[in-house]
Amino acid sequence: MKILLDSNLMIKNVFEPPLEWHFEGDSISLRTLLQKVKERCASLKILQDGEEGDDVRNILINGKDYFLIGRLDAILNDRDRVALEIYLDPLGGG
Amino acid sequence: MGGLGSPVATYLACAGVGKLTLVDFDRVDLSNLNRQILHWEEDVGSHKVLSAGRKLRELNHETEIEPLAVRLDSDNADGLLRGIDLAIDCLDTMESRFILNSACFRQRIPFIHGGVTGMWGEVATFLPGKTCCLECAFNRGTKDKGPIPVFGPTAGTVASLQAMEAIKFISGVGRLLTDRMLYLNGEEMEFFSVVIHRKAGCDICTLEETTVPTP
Repeated sequence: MKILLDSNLMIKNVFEPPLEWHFEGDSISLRTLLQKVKERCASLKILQDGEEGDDVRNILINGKDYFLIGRLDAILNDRDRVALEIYLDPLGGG
Repeated sequence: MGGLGSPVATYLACAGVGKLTLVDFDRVDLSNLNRQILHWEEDVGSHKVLSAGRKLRELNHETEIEPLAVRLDSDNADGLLRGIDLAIDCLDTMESRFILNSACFRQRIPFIHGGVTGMWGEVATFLPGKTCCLECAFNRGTKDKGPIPVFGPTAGTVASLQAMEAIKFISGVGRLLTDRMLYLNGEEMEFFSVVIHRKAGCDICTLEETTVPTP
């Protein structure tokens, strides 16, 4: 199965959605997908201690808010689209 | 008129920008002098906008300087921006940056963001109605974390990039740093950029244009 990941944010050579993720089996949880993303982009706080990290603004699964469909336990099936909205950590001085 | 504002205003005055409105309520402190290059030892205790204004007039007597010793807040932001062609965010709190972001998008005033912490810096240009805004990149609920250490040359580098963007915008030369945040990692001497898309349903990007009446 494959999942398409999109994001509002792209870091060249580090995190460049849209990305296709391939998994064995018929379905995975959103948490499993985010674990894979975290492994690929450790600098973003996407998953921390099994929960969504500080950098996550929102997650849409096929356009629906993940809060409404099981949060991190939401089941992803073949060809589902996950949109990950991420905040940057501002440098506050001036 | 701090670590970012001082070099930005210097370059813009030297470039011959016709009018600079300086907004800063603060006074010069000895601890500012490592990076706030328009303020000197003799200026400690003076209003920053007055100290900076004196130097800028000497650099270019044809540039009109309007010094405003006030703190930008949600009540006065629209008035301060009235008649401004381009805003440059040299602020030092996220709260004030979000106020500036909203006011600029309401009045369709382009603005150039800069921020520094230690040896890290960031720059981005926002064009209301055309690009993403500051809140597409940063969480509005972000709290300021108290005093932030700033390495003088980091502020100088980021400010130079902001001034470069400003002169590009004014002259129409080159491609602006829109829908991207350019980062400087001074520890490793690397630049990299992060692409930012407009946040779905962003209530700042979709603000109706507001004309602020002249009093």
